[in-house]
Amino acid sequence: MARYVLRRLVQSLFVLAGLTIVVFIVTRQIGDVARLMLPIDATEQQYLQMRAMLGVDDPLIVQFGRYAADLLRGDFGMSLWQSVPAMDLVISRFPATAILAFATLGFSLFVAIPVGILAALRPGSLFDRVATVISIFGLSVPPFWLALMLISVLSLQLGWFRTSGYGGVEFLILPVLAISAQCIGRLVQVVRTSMLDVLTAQYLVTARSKGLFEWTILVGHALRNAMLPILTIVGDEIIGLLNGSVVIEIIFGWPGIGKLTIDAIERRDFAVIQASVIFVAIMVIVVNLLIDLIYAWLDPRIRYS
Amino acid sequence: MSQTDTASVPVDLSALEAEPAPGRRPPGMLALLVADRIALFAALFLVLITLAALSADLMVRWGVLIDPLTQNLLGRNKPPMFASKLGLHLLGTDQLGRDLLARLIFGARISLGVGAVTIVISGLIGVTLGLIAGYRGGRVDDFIMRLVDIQMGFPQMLLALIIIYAAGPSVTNLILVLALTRWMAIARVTRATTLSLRQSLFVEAAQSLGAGHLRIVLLHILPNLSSTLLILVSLEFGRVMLSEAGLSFLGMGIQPPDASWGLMLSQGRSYLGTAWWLVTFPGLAIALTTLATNLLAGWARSVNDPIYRKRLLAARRPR
Repeated sequence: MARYVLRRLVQSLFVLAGLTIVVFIVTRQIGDVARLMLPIDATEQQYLQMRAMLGVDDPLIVQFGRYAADLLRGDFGMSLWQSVPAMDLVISRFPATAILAFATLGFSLFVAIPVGILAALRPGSLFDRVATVISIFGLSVPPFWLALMLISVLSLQLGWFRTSGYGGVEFLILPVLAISAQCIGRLVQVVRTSMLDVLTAQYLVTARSKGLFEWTILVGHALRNAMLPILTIVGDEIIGLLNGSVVIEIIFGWPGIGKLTIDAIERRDFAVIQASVIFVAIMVIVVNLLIDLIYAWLDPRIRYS
Repeated sequence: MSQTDTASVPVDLSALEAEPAPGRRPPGMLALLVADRIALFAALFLVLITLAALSADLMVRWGVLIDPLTQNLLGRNKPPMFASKLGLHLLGTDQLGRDLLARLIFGARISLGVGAVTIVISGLIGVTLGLIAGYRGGRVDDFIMRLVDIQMGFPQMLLALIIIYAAGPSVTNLILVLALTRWMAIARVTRATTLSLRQSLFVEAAQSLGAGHLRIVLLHILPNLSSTLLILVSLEFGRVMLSEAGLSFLGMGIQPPDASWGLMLSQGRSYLGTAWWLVTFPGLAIALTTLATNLLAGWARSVNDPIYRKRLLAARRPR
């Protein structure tokens, strides 16, 4: 087991190394940060001085060598605009992204698991068909459109919520509703299919003939065995939520990593762009590894070697 | 064991065992489509918007559709069914007094076009690499799959944003970035299916008859992948459309005066409180198109399931 985790971590280093190179090269093409930082009437000499000070006049390979050496010491560079270590800035924005992600996931599971189970219990019934069509519609709706429609109706017309902002639960409701439609749509489908697979299994017949309560059978035997495929999709959802809610964060003025990255791109704040992409990639690696470990813990037949 | 397992599935298996009537051809895809009403509606919807998008120029020339670029500053942000000097605006007008329906139809050209071209490119990359990896195996397979794993670990949306910002937002760059970030799923599925097909009897038979590798891959393995790929491609089409809309919404995709549905959404955002139709209709267009492709994917999946297929045809056949 320990060897498996070690091998996975080594493999992850390749991912991070590849990503660092790609992001480094791409961010250098974004634009001339020295030009952007100076007033329009700056002289050519001031411009050259600025470039030398920022270290952007060296060849790309030299710049990358310097950056990689810093990275190995855990130094992700300074934000060019805020004179704060870039990684500190990213980490300070992580709670907002994480709150949004886990509130969405919690709400989606809360809705999708009962609906999926009920649909699987009576396949082909009216409830099943309605649930299927609504879930497919849910995963087809663009989240940012849903966000705008929710703002339009619930905030602007009915005045129930503020249109945007960050703070208490009242700010969380609209973004969570907007993102969870897709999440719920996918989860309902997976819960339904994996429950359907499990419900015809022999051990349920055994459980019934032992005289167990239907509830015990459903939760203790069926749902437990249906958890594995559900877990896979939950992992995918977490990863999607950690790096995919950029547009929602912009619409609701949510101070998460997505908004930070967009702002950094607009200011050519290289260090912050790189730090946030690498940070998200590390999160993705951690979540993937955790899911695999939970897998092995849930199903003793799975042994990694 | 397997006997009792199948017996517990509440499906009539007798239809499966029945020999097809002599001289009767197996049902074509079209017959299967007509038999499933929801899938039929989805397909008709897609055909309809494709035709509308293709004939947009003609419709303007014939005067059926108002020119999408003609501005009318006296008739700005007018609600649906508003009649101006340009004609009747079925879905209202936008912030420059342009006809919303016409802009939606011209927007369909870009939104659908970007989706289609992206899918073709990412499909070609994914299928080629997947076939090579699955058929050759060994080192080549390891290398390609490592590449897939590495790229799967990238935060796609952020990376796409940065690359497009660096390369400059344009239709070509948008398509390239979307295609290069979306080939991995297709490669994975192609490889897995190829791997199992390579072991099958008909491939062995072809090999013993002296068929070359290229012939086996193209004529024996690829056709057997088509149904799996059909499902995947229609699902991917929906995802690509949503990504395009998201990037255009952030200003990193289609640029004005061109119109894509995502861009129209972001332009209408400022008028959310005063002109609801500006945001509602483009979003509805994206949602319905994605819904149609997702429904078709679901249909393609169930048609591949022989039990469902028989049941679908049996229900429609007059007795």
